[in-house]
Amino acid sequence: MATNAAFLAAEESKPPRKIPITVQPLWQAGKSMKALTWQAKECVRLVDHEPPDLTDDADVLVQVTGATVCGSDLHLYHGEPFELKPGDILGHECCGIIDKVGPAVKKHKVGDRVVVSAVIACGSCDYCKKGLFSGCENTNPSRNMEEMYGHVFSGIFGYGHITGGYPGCQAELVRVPFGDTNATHIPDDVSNEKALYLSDIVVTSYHAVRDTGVQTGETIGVWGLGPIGLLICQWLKFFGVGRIIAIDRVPERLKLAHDKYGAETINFDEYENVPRRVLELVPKGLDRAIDAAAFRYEKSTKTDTSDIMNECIVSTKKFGNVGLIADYLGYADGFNVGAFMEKGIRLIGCSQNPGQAYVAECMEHVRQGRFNPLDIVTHRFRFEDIEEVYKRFDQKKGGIVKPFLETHFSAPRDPQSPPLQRDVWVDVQT
Amino acid sequence: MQAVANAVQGYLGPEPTSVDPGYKAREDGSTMKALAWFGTTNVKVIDAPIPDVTEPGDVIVRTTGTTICGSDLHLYHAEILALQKGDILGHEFMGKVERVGPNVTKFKPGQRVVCSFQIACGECQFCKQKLSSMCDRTNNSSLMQNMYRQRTAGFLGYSHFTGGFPGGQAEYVKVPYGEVNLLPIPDDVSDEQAIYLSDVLPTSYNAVVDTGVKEGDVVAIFGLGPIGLCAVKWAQAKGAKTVVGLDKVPYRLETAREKCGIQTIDITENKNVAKKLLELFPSGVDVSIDCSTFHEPKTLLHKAQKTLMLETDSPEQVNEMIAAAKKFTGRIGLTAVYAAFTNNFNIGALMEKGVTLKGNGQAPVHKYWEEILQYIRGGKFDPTLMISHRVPIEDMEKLYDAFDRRNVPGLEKVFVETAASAPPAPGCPTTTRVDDWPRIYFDA
Repeated sequence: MATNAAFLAAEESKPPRKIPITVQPLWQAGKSMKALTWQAKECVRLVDHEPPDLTDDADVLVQVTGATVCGSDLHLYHGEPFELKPGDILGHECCGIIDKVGPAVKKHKVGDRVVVSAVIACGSCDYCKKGLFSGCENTNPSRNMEEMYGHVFSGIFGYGHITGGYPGCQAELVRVPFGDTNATHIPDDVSNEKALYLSDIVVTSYHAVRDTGVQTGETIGVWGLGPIGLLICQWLKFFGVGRIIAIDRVPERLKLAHDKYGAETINFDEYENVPRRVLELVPKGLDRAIDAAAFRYEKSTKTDTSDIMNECIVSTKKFGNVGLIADYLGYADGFNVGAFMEKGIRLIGCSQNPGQAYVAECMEHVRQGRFNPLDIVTHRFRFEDIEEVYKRFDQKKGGIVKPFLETHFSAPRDPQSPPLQRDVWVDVQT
Repeated sequence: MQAVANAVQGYLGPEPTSVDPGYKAREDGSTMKALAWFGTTNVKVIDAPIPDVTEPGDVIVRTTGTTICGSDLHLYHAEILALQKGDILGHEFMGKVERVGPNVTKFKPGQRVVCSFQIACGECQFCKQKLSSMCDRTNNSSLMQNMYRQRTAGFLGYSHFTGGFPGGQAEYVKVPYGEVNLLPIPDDVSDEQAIYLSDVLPTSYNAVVDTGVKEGDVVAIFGLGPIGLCAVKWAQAKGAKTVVGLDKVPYRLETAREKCGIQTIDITENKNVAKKLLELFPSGVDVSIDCSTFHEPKTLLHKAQKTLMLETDSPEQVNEMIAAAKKFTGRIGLTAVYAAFTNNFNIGALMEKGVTLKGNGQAPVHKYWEEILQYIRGGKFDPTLMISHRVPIEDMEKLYDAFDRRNVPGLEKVFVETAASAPPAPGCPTTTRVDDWPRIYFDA
């Protein structure tokens, strides 16, 4: 059975891949910081934890000034088989201030404001050199992933031992391997509230659009209007798309996509047969489709389902592209390979975002006001309330899309961003 | 399954098309030999009425060469939906123009032509881009419309799932939109060189070009039937650095090694195909192309699922190719026919490795056939390397059996002659009979 425990046991029975860095950092004895840890399915706990220390020469330590919760954190929250151990620190999106630098670090000094990429890359292997940073060969020791996929993708912060088991950044201090590659300077005129999201969702949505492709005037379908899907809509508009067809069930998210980006929306609670509705709106079929939904899990040996992919395939025109940016893990049943092959569909696995290849360009778009991550930042909470934030984010209640979590080290709030809410649930109608 | 498929399609009624696949016999009642389907592994050479012109764009072709295809075996095994008893099969043929409809001005009677396996209208948005296999207007299958939401073009002789057009394993064939779907054959090109412009040559070419073989690539071709063999040659023509061929039939592996000079992997000896490929190419394969079949699952798990109809197609090949693919830049093409649904598809690996998986689709013959004809005329590509045998059309039934069993050494693509055929071209096989062919009997 594909359980977290089974995957972990399999991983531990195999010799790890050799990589040139140490995954588990040294810890500063006698000191304490707050960190969000995974304990069990649907049980995350904010604990007092020793802070990490510099471990390898290229490391930097970052004092976190902005954190958040991700849609993909919810897979971990629900105990999906990413090889989690009780006590693992989660989180892969943060911005902060350089606290210490290792002797081999050239680009950063103490006090610099940086955003940390979710993807941990070495910067010097063949993949990194080609800009394919999430294909880095030097940061993920998981033999289990290598067997499942033929190759590994890079290590990721706070995302289970199948991606290395690196302590994450839902914490007050985080150790960043290969600091020159994985921490990026934030310009003085970009607030933390904007810069934080270049760790993952801004570059990931950008990558999805670049990888799936877009031409001016096309009609493109987006399945899933979480933060990724919504930012994909923003990028599509940025690139001059003709029409966006956006699919979800959460009313506030459908409204946001429609109001801000002119998307024509489909609520799949209303339209059970999504492809039929898409083809009513677009008889020729979509030029391209992007799956930014989530793999939904069955209680069997399968970890993934084909439902969304199949909807994308039948809704897209002959010889059209379907891009998968939503996380998939393993095997799915009922994949409509006949339609896929006969219609000449191009199915593009987008992989994890190679953010380091895009971050400078995206930072400049944000700085110039051409792209605004704050469109979808709906709430601001305190980092110490993160346990409740996970619950609310999971339930998608009260119009929450993406939160900003402030720490004790945070700068004063960017006035364009939402005000602080000390009670996580106060604006939720009961 | 056929009964259900036909019933559902009958109930749904036909989709609108701009062409009629219907059959009209000649007034003089003349008949011809044709290969028709009657059930699972049940095909017969029958006497069928010679078809007449029914629409102004029709051309009737007197067949001088036809053949059998690996994909015909899916019909033979009743794996394609909506077959009906008496359907004439066959989608690859050539011949001489015999009779034309009133709107046809491009062809003269007696002119040599080869037909594309797809019937395209020439005018819709796809035909205008020469994507003839995706013509919107020639396939009336409401069943396909429901399963795929869009329809491919109609195909000759490939069941009512693809429009129900009577096929080319016959002495006469009615070709709708004849001026669009027939290519004139120049005098300096023999019948054996031209016939495979109908399907195999554009299909193998499409597999390589669509999936995107580039100079310097490492390419793995899964399946070394005629499509795979030609795909190997096209990949080499496009500058691949290394091509590896995979199959399980010993004579096919040998043919690939001898005729194409490539390394081969026997998949019965190397059951973990991905592991073997990654031993040879640790960072992975640039391009993998599936030129095999969905028809034969390898593992017990998928044999069981197919038997129990839990799935129609097997994912094993695709999963192997995904595991062996290079991260991010790896490309996989499915040219082998897939029909419906599969289980256990390794979507996690696909997504996380950033692999691009392309359904190559049915090859748009009209996009490529003139270009390929130039390769042939210029001596740069010799299609006759795939022709291993020649038989008369009367042997068509037995040919299906032999082709299915693959127990005839050296059997690749067969040239099937009719009474109207020219004699064999120099260097090409002379006529034999299926009953006289030596057989090898594999161990169980």
